[in-house]
Amino acid sequence: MPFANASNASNASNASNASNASNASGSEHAHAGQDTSSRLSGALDAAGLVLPGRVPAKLKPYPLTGAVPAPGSAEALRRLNPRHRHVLLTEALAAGFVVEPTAGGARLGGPMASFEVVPPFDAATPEEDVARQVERVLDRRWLRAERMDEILEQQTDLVSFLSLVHPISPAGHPMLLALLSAVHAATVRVTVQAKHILSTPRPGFLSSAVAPVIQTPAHSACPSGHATEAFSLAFAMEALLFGAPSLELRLIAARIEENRIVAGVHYEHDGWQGRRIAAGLAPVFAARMGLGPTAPSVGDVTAGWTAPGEEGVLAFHGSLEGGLQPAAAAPGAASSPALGAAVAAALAEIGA
Amino acid sequence: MLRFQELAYGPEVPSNFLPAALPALLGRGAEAERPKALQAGAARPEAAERPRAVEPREVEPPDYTLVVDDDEAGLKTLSISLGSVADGEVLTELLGGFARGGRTPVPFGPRVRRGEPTVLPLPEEGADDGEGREGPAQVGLIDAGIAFWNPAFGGAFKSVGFLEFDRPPNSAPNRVMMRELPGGDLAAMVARGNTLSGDRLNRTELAAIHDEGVHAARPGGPPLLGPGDLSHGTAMAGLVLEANPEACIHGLELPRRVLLDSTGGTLRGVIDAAVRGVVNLAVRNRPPGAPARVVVLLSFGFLGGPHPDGAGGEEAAVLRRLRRTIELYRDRRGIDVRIVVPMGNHLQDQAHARLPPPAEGEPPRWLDWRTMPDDHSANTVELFHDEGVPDLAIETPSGAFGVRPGGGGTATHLVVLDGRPIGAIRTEPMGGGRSRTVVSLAPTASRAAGVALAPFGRWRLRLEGMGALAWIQRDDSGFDDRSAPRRRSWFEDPPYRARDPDGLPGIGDAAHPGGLVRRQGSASLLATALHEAILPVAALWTAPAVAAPRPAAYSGAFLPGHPRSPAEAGVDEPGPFGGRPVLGTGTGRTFRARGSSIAAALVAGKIAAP
Repeated sequence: MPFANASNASNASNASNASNASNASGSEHAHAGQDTSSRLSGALDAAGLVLPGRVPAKLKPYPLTGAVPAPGSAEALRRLNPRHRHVLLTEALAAGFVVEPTAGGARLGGPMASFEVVPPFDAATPEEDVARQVERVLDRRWLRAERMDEILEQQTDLVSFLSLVHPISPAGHPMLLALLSAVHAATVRVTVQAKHILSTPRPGFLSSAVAPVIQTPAHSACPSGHATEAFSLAFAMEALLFGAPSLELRLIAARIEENRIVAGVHYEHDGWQGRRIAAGLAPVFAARMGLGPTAPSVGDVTAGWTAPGEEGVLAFHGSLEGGLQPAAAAPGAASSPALGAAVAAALAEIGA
Repeated sequence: MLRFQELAYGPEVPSNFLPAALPALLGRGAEAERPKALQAGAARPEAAERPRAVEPREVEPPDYTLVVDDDEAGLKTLSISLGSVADGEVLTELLGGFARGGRTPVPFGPRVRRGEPTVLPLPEEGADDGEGREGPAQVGLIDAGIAFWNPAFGGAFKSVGFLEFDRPPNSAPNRVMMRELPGGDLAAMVARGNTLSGDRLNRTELAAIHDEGVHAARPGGPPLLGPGDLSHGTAMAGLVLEANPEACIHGLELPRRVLLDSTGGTLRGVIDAAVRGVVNLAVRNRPPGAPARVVVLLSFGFLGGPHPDGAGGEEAAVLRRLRRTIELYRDRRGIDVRIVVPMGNHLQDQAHARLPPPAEGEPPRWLDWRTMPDDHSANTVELFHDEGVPDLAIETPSGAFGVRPGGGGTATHLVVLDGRPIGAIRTEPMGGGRSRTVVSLAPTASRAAGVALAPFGRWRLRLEGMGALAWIQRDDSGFDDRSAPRRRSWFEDPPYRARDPDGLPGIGDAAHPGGLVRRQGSASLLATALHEAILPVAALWTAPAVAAPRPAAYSGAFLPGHPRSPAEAGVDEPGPFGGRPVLGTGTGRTFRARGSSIAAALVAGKIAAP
């Protein structure tokens, strides 16, 4: 499943995703047997000669139904090649988002109330303020040794960490994973556009003292793709798994966000902007899936969830009147038959 | 915005009011394990529930508490019950553990009457008339994890005791007492200690007998030491016997709280009790005819000041108390007590700095202090300077700036950043025309919401118009806790050179003559004693190509001009690994270990020999 941060060059491993492997197999096809090959094709052609080889005037009797098969959306979704299913679900989630440049950053809008994301600094920012942001990256470098395993694994894998909160497996939750994969991909579509507009140099481009411990992506630092994707997945998992905010999921997402600063490839500000985008996308994704929203508003994240890492999560949650609240009521049906079928199947996998 | 809110605490509070009271001052509580000394009135297992009935030998009266009231604003109002507490006689609690709301007693150490601690009075008996002090000394080992049943020790252990903080029926906080393992039990544990099952049974029984110790399960966690873990106390006993195979050892097992507080704050509070306890054990249980002479191996070290130097600076209060204890034993009971202490292992820790007085026409220099992210412990710096309350400028890692206003006498302030209290500062006179300023910052991380946290990164401190000697109170525990790591802080200074011209770890300050961060001054506070009966010991290393043993790269160093020189012992052997093999468990298994405490143990064994 493509849960990697697809925007990074290191995401070559996406090509090896399990869903892609099925392209070469018979699992997506309407017949049993081995994989396609020229020898099999020849053999099938030869063996088919024993059949009458005539198309009847009337296609009846079809088994049981007596009609030409017309599967429902759930069955149709099940029959889709996983890669095609991923495209279908991603399109349904990502439809209509707009990312456009502004004087100071990028404005996100479309199916949500628009808001602006801004880079950590621009040409007018005093040099000492930029230097201080780089220094905040250096302040965390002392954690690199103990976070190294996480940093390396999280380059291409977020869902293993988020799944610490609830066990998910390809065998037991194929449609849930397909949905989350689509959430991830829809998030990336928005994030890369914002990155392209903001085009913020990475900390290591400003000072050799940063000495990142992983290869620095060439694209914009802000917003943090990892933060946006981790929080977007966390908010979607909240809605799907719990129907309520999950402190645990947010702590894991915050750790992923912070590890990118520890690694030396992001400023603190990048994660905050990513968290804001995730909060903006989350209610749209939830509504399109026919689920109640659980994420905080962009305004709340802007005002009260500014710090990275678990301290940021805990400070924000500590400031909430009455603590975490259950999700608001669901808006009704999903926005597309495919999404509706996927959500129904995913909820069935969870046992909801 | 950084500002300072004055608090009305006069000179009556104990000398390490900070950082002990920091969590209470900041008005927030952590949900961490509450130390037992704070569990006033909590039910404790009765002695009858224990597999062995071990009667208390010595009991102390209740002590002095600080009472905390939580108010709606989240700040605490503190009141202190009156009592007399010896300077520096404090039990710190750095983990938080203060309950939200209500009234929580904070322990500050055993009560003092007429200048003498009430803890563990002198033994009734002492040296018999005419009994000489010559001949082999008893070795008193103050440590934790002493597997006295290790077959290699044979019958070397003559007695074993346990230092404890509180125990029914004396359930008030902060009582310190000692219990002794009956001789029959000691013999039985040693007898069965040569088998794995016996080793396991001994640990189980010790966990039940001494539930504040390293073998007992902690609330919500396993024991601090497992059967296969290297334990310091066992290593020390093995080294004493290596240097003196005939040594008679008396072991005093410390509570795990002492080990977990690497600032030394908890040890300061019980150090008199520990020395008295092990000396009393040794005198009471020494072989017939043996002189009343005890060499105490106190193989712990911690940073802090003041340090005596060439200008005649004073000893720390804890050392003055130890001096008095030694003299009381000598003068009133005829008991000869020597205490062997290591120089500490902080030479490379960048934990000491010397801020020179500002030169004429030049601004005072900043002292950079690095605190760590994801640090669940408070961070504290001590500054020793000319008498008075100086203007103290502080710059936070985010660049916020403020000046704690100066004045005279004593001052206590909260450090408030953007409206939230994140630390505290206290300045108080030390005598001799000197004052001490303590800066304590809240942890930088917590697993609980709503806890006061200080930003991590590079803090900057500057005293206006005067110089200072600075020490960091090291606050990492040395025991890995991945769920809530405690991390040390350090001073930074661009001229500081970590390596000498040969690329080896530097052992002096010649490479950074004008630098603020110094290696000289990194000795353990206990090692700076001026009394001849307290013997500091440094570690050396050797190699085939080295003509004479050299100072180990970790062994702490005195301030320039310190009037004493430490004893020395070789620790690091030639070879790729450093250190030397030591026993560490109840079995014959050996570990490779290094540190100045190893040198101290070798010297203690040697000077206890006839």
